[in-house]
Amino acid sequence: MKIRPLLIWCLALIGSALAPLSAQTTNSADILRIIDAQVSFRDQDFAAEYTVTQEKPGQGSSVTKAAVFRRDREDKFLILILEPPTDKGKGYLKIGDTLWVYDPVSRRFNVSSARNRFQNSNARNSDFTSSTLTKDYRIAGESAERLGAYNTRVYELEAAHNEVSFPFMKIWVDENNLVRKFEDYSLSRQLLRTTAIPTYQRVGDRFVPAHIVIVDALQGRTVNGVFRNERTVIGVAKPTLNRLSDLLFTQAYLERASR
Amino acid sequence: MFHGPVRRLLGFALLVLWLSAPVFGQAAEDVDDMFTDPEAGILEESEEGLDIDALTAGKKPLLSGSATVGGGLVLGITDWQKPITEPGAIALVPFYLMESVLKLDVRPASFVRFFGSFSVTSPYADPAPPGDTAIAFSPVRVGELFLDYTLAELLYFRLGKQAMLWGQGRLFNPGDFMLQAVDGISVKGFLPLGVNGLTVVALGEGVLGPNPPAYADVSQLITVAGLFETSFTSLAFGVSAYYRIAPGLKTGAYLKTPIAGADVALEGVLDWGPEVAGVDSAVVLASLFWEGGRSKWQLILEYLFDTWVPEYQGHRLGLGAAVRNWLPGGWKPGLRWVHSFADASGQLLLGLDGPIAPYLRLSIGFPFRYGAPDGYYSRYLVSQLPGVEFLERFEDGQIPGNPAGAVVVALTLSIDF
Repeated sequence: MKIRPLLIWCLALIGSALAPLSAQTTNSADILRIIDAQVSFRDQDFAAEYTVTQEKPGQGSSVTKAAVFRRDREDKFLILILEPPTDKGKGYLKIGDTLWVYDPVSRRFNVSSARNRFQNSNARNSDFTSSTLTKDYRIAGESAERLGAYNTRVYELEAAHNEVSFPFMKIWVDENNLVRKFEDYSLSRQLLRTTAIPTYQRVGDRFVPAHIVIVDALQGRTVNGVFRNERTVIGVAKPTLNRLSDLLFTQAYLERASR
Repeated sequence: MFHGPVRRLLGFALLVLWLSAPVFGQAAEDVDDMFTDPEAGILEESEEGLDIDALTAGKKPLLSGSATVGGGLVLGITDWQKPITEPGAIALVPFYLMESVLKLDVRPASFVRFFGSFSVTSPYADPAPPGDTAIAFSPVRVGELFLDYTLAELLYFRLGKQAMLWGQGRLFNPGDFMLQAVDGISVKGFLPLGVNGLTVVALGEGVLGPNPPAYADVSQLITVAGLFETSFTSLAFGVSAYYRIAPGLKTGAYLKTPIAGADVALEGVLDWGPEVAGVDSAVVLASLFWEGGRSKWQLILEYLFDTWVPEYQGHRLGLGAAVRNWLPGGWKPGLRWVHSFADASGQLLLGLDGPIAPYLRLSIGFPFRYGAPDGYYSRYLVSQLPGVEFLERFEDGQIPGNPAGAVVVALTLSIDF
């Protein structure tokens, strides 16, 4: 009979120890869900023109212009390269976890990974999908930090599975729940990229980055005795939420569109 | 000092100036400097949206093409068995190539398109008096000539003379049931279905080719084929079927997925024709393709097993490699090796191709073939070599002189417009 109060006491102790953990887990997912929702279009299609400028110190720059189409509710996107002429007609089609890359010269679809670099730039193919922080990461740490003129919350994220491009991330979130800056880390916590989103544009009741600057922490070249990082600047223009045809998210569309 | 829209405009202008600044003054830690003005952080909704129809339509017909003139030398050994001192053991064959290609692309609306591709080449051997016309221009050849039509943004058709590529192989491609489509007239229809879609083809096979098939009834010319493709998580798969009265029914299936950044595919083809049926005519292909790296590598590794070859000897192995951004000056090396275990025959091609002046390219190739004279790969040298476009120009794999091993040096002047 005397063991009963002890058992209840132990259960209460375990319960009180686990309660904050459970609340933290829920809270973590909720925070990321709110951040994802700000830049996702679950009930509408999205299309825009992206200009990707890749700058390599000492080697000049190259510009890729592409039309990007997203149907977030079905986890699909299609990217059609418009410039430069040598890559015109090349395309990327992502349906679920499958990403095809279309080569108009060989007329062949190769299966690729979202983790691969986009057009040999510092951007990854995954940078063009909808934000999936809730699915891919959990919050491991939180702090407050001033980022220029912004009061931001800084979240340290760790991957929830192995399919992500980066196992660790650090994100700076402003008062509108928009990610203003993020850092991508390797498994050994080596900084790989720093990304800044200084400008967003309003599209309906959601937001799309207007400018994204990606600085590669590892790639670069010493110019005049100073190491300069490679960087990629992405400009997003002409966003629209008009409904897109089902045919657009197919391999047949890329075959039809290529010249 | 400044308030409201003026301040926002100034902030945004400063940001644009920062973004357009050359990279040479940038370092990773500088990104924090972009957040000095919160007023510039959110722009109002843009009035101009992307014109999606304009991506697949053009007000004016688009004319493009290429003109190429090239020539070179093949210095080769004609037969490995022959002593090198014997007359005729070494051959020096000069060659030339002239080619003009013209393409017309008309897209009056986003849902309709006309495309035609036409070429003239020389040398050309007229099949009628083959001995008389070693140096001549070919008649105008129609590469492709088709109309695209999309019905209600749902059904997509391509009608006419068109090339199609099915199958997953790059060096061996047993699943390419549409290999001969470009020599025929076909109607291809595509319907989005499930994750990907269904392609259906009706084809008059070979009717526009160099050797049109003989037939007693028109139905003997008609081929029908279908391909259904879909995916589940990161696994893509497809099933296909081909039917013509002769050679009969063929079916195929493939699985494809990225593994460690490589495109990995497994494909099987069964021939259900009247002579051999089922597993006695199975061909299995395992294929690995990787493209990437800062040097733009392309690597191909393929294994093919063909049950047509008796005693389970039908093994073939292929390897291809090319690298685009490795050597300075735009020089591109490439390698292609195919080997048949059944008769120990094979071919190895090494190549190097690069610009030596504007529009002028130098190509150096080392093609070798080995094995018994009647071996699978010893009849002629195939031309497809990653990275060496010039050697790919030779039709039917015919490198002049058909050497057993050679050095090919070619100079080409080419203009694309």
